[in-house]
Amino acid sequence: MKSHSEIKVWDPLVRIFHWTLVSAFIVAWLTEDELMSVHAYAGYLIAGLLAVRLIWGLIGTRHARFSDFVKPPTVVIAYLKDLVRLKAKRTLGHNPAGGAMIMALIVMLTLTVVSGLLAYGAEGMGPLVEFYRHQASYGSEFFEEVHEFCAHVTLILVFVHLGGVALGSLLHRENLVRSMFTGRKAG
Amino acid sequence: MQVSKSIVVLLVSAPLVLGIGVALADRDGDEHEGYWSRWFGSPVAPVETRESALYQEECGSCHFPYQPGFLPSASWIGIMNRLDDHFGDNAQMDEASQRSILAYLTANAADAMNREIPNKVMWSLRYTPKPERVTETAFFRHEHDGIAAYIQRHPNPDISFSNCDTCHTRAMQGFYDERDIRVPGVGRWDD
Amino acid sequence: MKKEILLLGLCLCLPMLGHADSVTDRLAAYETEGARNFDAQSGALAWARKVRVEQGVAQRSCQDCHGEQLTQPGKHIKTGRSIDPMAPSVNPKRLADARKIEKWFKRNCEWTWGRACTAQEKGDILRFLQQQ
Repeated sequence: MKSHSEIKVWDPLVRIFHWTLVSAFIVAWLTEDELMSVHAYAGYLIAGLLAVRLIWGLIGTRHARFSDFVKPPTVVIAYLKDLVRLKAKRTLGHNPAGGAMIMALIVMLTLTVVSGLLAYGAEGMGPLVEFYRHQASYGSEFFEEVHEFCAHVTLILVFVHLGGVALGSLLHRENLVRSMFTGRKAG
Repeated sequence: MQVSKSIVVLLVSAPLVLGIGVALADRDGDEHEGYWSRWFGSPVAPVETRESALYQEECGSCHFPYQPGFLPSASWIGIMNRLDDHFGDNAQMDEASQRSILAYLTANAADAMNREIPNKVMWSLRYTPKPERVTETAFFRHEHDGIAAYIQRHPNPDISFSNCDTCHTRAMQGFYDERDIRVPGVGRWDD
Repeated sequence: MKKEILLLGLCLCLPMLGHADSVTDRLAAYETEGARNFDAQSGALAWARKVRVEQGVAQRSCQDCHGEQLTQPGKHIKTGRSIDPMAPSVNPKRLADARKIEKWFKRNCEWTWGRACTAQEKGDILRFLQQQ
């Protein structure tokens, strides 16, 4: 069902980043506390992915740049109101709500990664170990709790994100998931 | 061209992430375990191996046969040298068994293993330098902070740190994660 | 094929011979140390005997850990760990290995009575346990 006027929207980096992040998050979620080595490396991968995406958001292709989809709160709220009334306008790149979700996910994922690194370091594991050389006691209950909390908030965001993608797809009669694989949308 | 720019960034960053991962993983390994066991094996070597059968038999009748990875070899040597007064009990055995078990313990002790729990035990020696028993390490205490406080408020003779497998249902296989915990009188435990 | 199965069957029976053998072997060893006329009744009394090993510590007996019903599992008095039943009638591994018999006598006499058991005591206790 490839229409003649399909446009390239998502470049390969954005797409590979997105799906690698999805896999890494799932792996991290499933291996926590059980296979800690795998869990930690999934976390390091997420850290690397976030770093790459942040850079790409500044110098990348048109719809990959933050300037393309990060809008002020008033615009986001107006878009959400339109969405509720099923009147939201279709955008080629991320819509304002999608843009806000992306920033929220980046923030929460970053907090999760950082708190994870700190909790791990307090137990003598991972790259932040040296910062803990003079710590008074073993482990950090605090960072473990923060890490768990942030991971749960991220999961909630993921569910909202899935809902948003479903709603957007239905509203504008396009398969947004497929577009994130192929990179193309109808013109 | 925009597409090739992104491919270049990808081609550079992907091997970088993977390479860093492999480099960090490739620490001084020990002969006893393969590369993959550190990733997908249990966090501390299971007790049920061929070499450990004697240890299980001699040291698992009165309490859970703690995996050697829970203590540094110095602690195990101390214990095996004082079997006539083994924390108030007599745990003596014939010389051959004693030597064999000591060899097994030191070969698999925390300072000889490169897995999650032994590594954490070694780090915790900064805070508890000469632990005499498994339950004395800062690592163990940190992990059991919550349940220890609970036991103080609700004494229960069935719950004992001498018998890990009372709560840790997969302790014998070397798995101690929260998912497998069932505390008598409480059920699942999540802190 | 039938011959091999028969032979295999005979071989599998051998451990049962070992069972009676271990106790007999130990009793013979005790006799060389001067003990004789081993008696289950005396063994039963020894088993139940309470001994104070040191000041300020409760009296101890074999029953404290092995329980009063030897066909039932016991419970280690300090760690709470379950101990398999002592009675050979429900636990065929008991008294089957001479080395283990001596090992447990060595550890448990020291801890329960504060001293090694005499050859007479060990023989009497074995006779008693054999009947359980």
